[in-house]
Amino acid sequence: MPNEKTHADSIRMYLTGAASDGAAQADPDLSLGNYRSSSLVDVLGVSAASLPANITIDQVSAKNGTGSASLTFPTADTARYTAPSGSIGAAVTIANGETKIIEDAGDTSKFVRITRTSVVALTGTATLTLTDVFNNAIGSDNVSDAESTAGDDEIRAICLKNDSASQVTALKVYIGQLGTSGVSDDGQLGAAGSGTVETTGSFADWPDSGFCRIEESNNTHRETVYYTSRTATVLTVPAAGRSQLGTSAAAGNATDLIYAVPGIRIAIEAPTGDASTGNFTDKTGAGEGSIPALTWDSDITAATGLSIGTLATTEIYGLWIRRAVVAGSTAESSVLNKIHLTFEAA
Amino acid sequence: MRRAIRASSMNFRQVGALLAPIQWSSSATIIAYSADGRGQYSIEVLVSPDSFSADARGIYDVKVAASADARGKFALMDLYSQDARGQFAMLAAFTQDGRGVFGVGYITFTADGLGLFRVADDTMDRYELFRGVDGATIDYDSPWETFTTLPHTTAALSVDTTYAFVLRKRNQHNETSLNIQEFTVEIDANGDLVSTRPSAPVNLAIAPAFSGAVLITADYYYVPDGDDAATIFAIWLTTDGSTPDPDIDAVTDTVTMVKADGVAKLSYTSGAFGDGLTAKAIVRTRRIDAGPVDVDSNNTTIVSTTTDTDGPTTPGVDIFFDKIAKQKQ
Repeated sequence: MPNEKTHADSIRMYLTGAASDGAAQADPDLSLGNYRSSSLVDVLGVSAASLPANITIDQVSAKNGTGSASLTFPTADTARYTAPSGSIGAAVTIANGETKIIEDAGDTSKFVRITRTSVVALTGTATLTLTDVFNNAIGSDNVSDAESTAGDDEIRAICLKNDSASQVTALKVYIGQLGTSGVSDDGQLGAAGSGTVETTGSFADWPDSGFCRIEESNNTHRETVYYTSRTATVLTVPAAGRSQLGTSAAAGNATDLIYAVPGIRIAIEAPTGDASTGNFTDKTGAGEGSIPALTWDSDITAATGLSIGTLATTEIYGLWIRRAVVAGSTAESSVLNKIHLTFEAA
Repeated sequence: MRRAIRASSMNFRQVGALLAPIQWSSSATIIAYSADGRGQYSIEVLVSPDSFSADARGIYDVKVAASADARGKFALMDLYSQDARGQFAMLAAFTQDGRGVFGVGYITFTADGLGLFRVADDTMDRYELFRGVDGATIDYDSPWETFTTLPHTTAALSVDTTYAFVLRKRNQHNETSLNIQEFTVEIDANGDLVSTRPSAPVNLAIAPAFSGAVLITADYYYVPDGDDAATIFAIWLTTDGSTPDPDIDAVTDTVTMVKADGVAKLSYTSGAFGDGLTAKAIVRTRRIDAGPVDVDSNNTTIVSTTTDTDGPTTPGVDIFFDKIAKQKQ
């Protein structure tokens, strides 16, 4: 029976920007380092229909993705969870006053954390609609016309905390992909300037505009570029879209591997002072445009991403997210930032 | 001085039993193929760990053993198989049994961090005008004109052409309204604007009535036309088999609409005709503009039936009061 703060709920993401560890600071736009806030990062929105009145949904894991999930109550004191496109998980007993995580059977990283608030028997099935969240600490704020015209570079800081009672090991963080990877076998960029990236495969599930990570066939990172538009097989890259995310322009190759990625880099930072209550670089005064002197990474696999390693119970670690906006960016109603975590927990 | 301790078997009972020889060595190699120990730090492989089996009781009993049995605090670490009792009895084992606090270890989990944002481009904040020409389908992928303020004057339109327009609004985040209601502009051959025509009637039908007459019915939903709504049904009817042509023929009859609950209903009975005649009709809605100018809908659907004189004529009715109420035909 998974209690809260176990399994995938062992590591929780908090805002930063607080004056002391665990103090109040709920504005994601002010999540700019210093101390961990008492507020969790809002990673996925949830609205519930037919939820028993004595059940509160505390959080759903972002691993669920968007879509329709269900929370069913087969007996007066048990709950089972089915993630979007998932399979119904094991029944979990939850008594009055308890908080539990209810996991999907196919992937226990997909869970909902609920609290029961009275002894009234649980019954029925609730439908949960899960949606991405705008302007949280991972998405950051909307890009204004001035910023999209001139370009922008800004940061947010979140705090990863081992909220479980045992240690978490092998904690790693890396950038998530936004579409199906491919090969630039039908056209490549030149050594500099505008151009196109073309494939005989398909960009159909890529964002309409965004960033493309180009790797050599041996996975050496060649360049990341920004494309302003695409068709099913062609990405159009302006001159200003070259050399993104700390890379340099380089001529492509027909065997290059291409990935749809968000326009972000990440950096990790150990806390200063106590490993559980210490603080991070403080950018609350300097603002979101002040980039801390950290090592920024844009790798897209656990093996090549950032390794935090072991966090003992209650220990924290800082995760900075740096978002790039290219001058002349295309207007978009919805742009997704995505990061992945892997870890081992009890 | 290096000191190597090699033993095919060892038994110790004391604090630091295995460590004592090592404490005063700068380095040492410990290779125990089997060992038993009881005590604090009873077995600890320090430099070259090659302990293939070990039994121990105590604090930090066994480390880096291929197989081990232990009881104690941090009894076993990094083992391939193990049995243990104690606090943090096993860590990172491939197979394990445990009793105690945090007896059994770990599973790999994943988590995601997701977030959305918008990108603004103020040049996208505009009105977009789409058009269809002479009945052609409107292409919503390519606006005919874009502008940022209203009212807006379009480019000149062609004579003798009918246009259908749809106006949409796009915002700075490249989101557009999805309305599809069209407004029609008709230019005649002289380049004059033809007044906006009312909508055509629907559910048009004709059936034989009494004594060779015909019954014509239709509905007109006037609300969408707003201020351009019709007020009259205009009927063209022939009984010689010819097709009525509103552009040529004079109107047969008109009926003033009675509007209620969004619909005006037509129920028109003609005069009597001969038997077995082909009756054809077309009904249009009509608005009378200032002038007066008749502005009709431009539908062209024809309905037809065959007259029938077999049915009786409708009786006339008189009722008067006398000693007995009578009906007279």
